Amino acid sequence: MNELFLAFAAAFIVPLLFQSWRIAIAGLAVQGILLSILPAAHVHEWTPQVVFECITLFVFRGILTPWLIVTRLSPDLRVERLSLIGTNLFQWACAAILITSGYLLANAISPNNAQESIQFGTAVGCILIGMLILSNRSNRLGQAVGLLTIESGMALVELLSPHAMPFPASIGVAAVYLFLILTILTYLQKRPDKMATVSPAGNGRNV
Amino acid sequence: MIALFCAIIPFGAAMLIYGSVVRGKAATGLLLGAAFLDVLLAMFIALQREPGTTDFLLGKYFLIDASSVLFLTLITVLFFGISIYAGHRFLFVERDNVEAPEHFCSNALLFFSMSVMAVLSNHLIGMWVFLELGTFAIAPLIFWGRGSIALDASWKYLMFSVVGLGFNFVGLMCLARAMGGAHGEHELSFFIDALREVPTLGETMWWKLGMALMVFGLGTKMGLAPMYSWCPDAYDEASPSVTALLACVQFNCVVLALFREIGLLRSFDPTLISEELIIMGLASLIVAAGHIIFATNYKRLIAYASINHAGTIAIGLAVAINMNAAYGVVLYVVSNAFVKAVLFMTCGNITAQFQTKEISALKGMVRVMPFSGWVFMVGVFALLGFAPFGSFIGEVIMLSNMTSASYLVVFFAICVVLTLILLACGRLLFPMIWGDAEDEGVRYDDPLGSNVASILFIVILVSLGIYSPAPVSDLFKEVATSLVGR
Repeated sequence: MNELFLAFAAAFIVPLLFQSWRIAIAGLAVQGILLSILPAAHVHEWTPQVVFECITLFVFRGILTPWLIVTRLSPDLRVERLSLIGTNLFQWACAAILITSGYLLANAISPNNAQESIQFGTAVGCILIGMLILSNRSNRLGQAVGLLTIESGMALVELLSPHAMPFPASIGVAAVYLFLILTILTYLQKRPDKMATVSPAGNGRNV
Repeated sequence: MIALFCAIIPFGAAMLIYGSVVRGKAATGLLLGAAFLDVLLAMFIALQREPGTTDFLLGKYFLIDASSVLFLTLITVLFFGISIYAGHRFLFVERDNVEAPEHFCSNALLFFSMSVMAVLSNHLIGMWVFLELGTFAIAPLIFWGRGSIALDASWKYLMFSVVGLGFNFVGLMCLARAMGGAHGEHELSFFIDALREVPTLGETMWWKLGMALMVFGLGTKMGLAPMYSWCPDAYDEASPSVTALLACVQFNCVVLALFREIGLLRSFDPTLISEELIIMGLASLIVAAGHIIFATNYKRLIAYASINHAGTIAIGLAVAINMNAAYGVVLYVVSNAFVKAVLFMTCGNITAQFQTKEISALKGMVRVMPFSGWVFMVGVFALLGFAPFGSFIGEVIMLSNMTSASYLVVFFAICVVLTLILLACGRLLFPMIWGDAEDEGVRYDDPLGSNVASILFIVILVSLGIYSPAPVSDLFKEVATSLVGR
């Protein structure tokens, strides 16, 4: 079980090492696939709800997200070198501190359960690394990767809950993710240089 | 069941427009028609409901209680007013300047439908889902018909909203984890009414973490410091109707979510998260005051005043541990929604006429724009908390409660910051309202139709301050009671 969590941690840490938008998106895909394996790995009983959860995680996060981003990404966002975090010692120290903080926080909340503290620590670390990537303001694609990394961390927190989510709520959560991806795509497809840059008061509609 | 039609009607109308069944001017007509029907339905529901009762719909996923009735009525009236404003501008003022009104109408209707579902929701995850879906519907409207600056503002809004609501979701999961240890059911209920009945929330560490994340997340969506920077950008860059939808409809849906979560968790600990709300509220007031003092753009100034209002509401909620104080918060929230709608719609009229948002470029508005100038002036008075508006009464009740509940440091800090904001707004906006205009004697085109909704809202604001009929007052008291917890 813990191997899956270590693999998940690698899936959000490794893309930080490479300055490539393709590897960043591949990292998201791996996170999605690992998330879909998690419920299957610790399920005691295969209910329709568990099947639904596994399928939606695999299809939406593991396949649909990377495919849509790669095929629809605006050409000006396909930069040669995309650094998810700054390539300097300070940013690297921040990343290391955030990941350590995630595990320390989890340990403080569950001091008597090492398994739970590793699992929850991985989720918190993922959310914090996503926040760090999101704070990189240079590229919209980088920010989208940051946001989706946060989303992966949140999905992991949800999967760690000892209770199953009610089925209608699971459908709602899956729908929110799908519409989030579609909304993000509308921004990743936009070419800001093709849009008007006149002052806001005079440009557009006063409706 | 009728209540669900308040969501189904705008949803259906939006689908008709998306499906290209209705286009152009007809789409605007559909927007107005759906908004009008919704107001009628909301009024009917409010009048029909017996005080103190709660009705459940669709297997308890939705409910009609005092809070949902109040906020449903509030957002439907606001949406109707905003639709009148937008409809008038589409059909009469900017009819040659609008390429695709259906894009605005469809997204606005879809957003409103999701907002209604969020207001009626009795399920914490359901409420979260509808708030998220509403965010996705309105985000593209922020840059609709505008340039790359608005695109950036819209992107920022989307990022902050999703992260904020994400924190709220993680908070709910922490709450689920906390309760897991306590009663061990296989499937956890997120139904608000069921959660009110549980004897304990379980592991303290988990549910306190959950509560902190939930409040932080909703605070982000409300525009509270430290995650407030999306708010002035989105409010400033969006068109006036979209700004009003964000600041009035969406803001109040988030406030209701906060009311529900605080009311629920205060049943277990009456002083819960008070400190966190006070810190976020005071930080928001200070940030807002700092920006208002140096403001040069009147729409941005009002956006910062909205952050100030959100901060005041947060502090009000923190100290609202008795019925009287909670009543003040409810009255302030309702009044504040109308104040923002009046000001943002009037800003739209002024910007359309003068093609600038610079405060220094505008003087003597009451003389050169007879309707918008006067409406703007009254709106600014309400914004600054002058009598006889409902916002004044609400603020006085909240402040008086702070002194009686021994929150003297907070009371002193609020008074100082509010005085600074009053002086700064007066210095900047009063010359804009009464100063000597360069082209004195000129009367600009200022159609009454663009101001009808604002005038209606001012009447409501004044009546909330002077005299609230017993049913309205009782409804406010019922909401206040639910806020205090059991």
